[in-house]
Amino acid sequence: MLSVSSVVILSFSAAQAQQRDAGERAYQKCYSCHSVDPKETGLSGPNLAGVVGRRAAALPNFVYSPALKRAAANGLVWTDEALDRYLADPLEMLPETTMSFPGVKNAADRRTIIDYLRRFP
Amino acid sequence: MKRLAIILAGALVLVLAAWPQVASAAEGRFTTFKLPDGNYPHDVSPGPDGTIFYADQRRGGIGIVDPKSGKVEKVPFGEGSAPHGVITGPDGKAWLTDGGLNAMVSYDPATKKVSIYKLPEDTGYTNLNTAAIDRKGDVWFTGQTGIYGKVDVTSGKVTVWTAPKGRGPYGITATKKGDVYYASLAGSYVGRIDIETGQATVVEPPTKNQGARRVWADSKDRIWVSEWNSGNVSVYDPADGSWKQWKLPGDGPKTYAVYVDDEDKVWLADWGANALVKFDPATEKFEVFPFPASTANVRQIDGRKGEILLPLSGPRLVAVFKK
Repeated sequence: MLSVSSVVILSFSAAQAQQRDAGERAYQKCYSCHSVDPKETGLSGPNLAGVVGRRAAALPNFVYSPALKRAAANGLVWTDEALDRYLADPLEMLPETTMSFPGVKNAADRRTIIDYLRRFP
Repeated sequence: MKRLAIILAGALVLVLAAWPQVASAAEGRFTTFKLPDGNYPHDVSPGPDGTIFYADQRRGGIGIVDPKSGKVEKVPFGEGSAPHGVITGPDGKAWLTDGGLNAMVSYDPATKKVSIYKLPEDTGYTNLNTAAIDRKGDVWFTGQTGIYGKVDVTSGKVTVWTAPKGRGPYGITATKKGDVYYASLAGSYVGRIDIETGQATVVEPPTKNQGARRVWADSKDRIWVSEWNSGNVSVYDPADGSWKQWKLPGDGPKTYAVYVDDEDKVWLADWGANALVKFDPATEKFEVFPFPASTANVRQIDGRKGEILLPLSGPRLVAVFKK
């Protein structure tokens, strides 16, 4: 048997979420581990400012997984197409990636995220 | 308060064919269990009758491994399910933090009932992480985008609070007294939640930018912390506010997970050494047990008498380590 309950939020500013534009809202899938502020480093995922069009595993101060390093050595560049594939199913594209993320199944949502990332060259 | 309850009968339970045990390795103390193709065990917890629950972050739902037969049972939670964490309550129910559904989910192995407690749409995506049960039986959870919350198990009401210092709330634990603490990975602090008011107080570990990832309470209600960035294990004693910390052995430890067993021994997952590390607080000595697979990527640890339970997310296995 499966039951679903709705909820009430207290003390959480729903306006915070509603004020974000579509790009910011879509980017919340990435926000926990990645920043688009070039000055914000030290998160568990690499900084994504300038990631569109950048070679994979390119940031000198981030320790990438062996899987990402191998992919970079094999020429992986984060083109729109590569980002789309990776966002759709990271473990399908790079089975040994350490990014524990099930992927964004909706193609329009992936496009919105990539367009949002492009705002931070 | 608006409460909507939709009952969907007959959650499908898939009982899969027997999966063979993989040969033991590393001193013969690890036994690993294969999972169905594509399954991704992020966290594990003890199930009934020696079984092991796992949160399947990639295919969704809960998996149940029977170590005696090697069989794996899958219980789906519906389209989009992608749970990160699973814990087992004192009543035997599993509670999962399902980031894909943006919901807390309970599964009762006795009745096979799945209950979904959704966060409201206007909360936005929260990247739900881990759960813990307080002294009242209510379920607290973290969301890595910068929230924590509670399911009132009596009413089904879910309440969400904005966490201090933004993104980062990760592991969460309850003490024997039922107080609740969480770790903030990006915020590099431990948060103490007042379960009466829901307000969180920041407790700063002595090591800056340490990356507190997971927490576990020992029998004396001290809070053990796995520090991802520093490679330390640390302990906070709420009784006197003191901290102690130790660097894990080896070059470049990365301390992902912590678990404290029923003898107050501390177990750690070190990604730097790709090993299970045991720390004895009485002697301050470490023992290192290499995982039985390369890049095991163990993201969490749980256990029960005589056994340490491990999700090997790299090779997609569940493992038991005999103490």
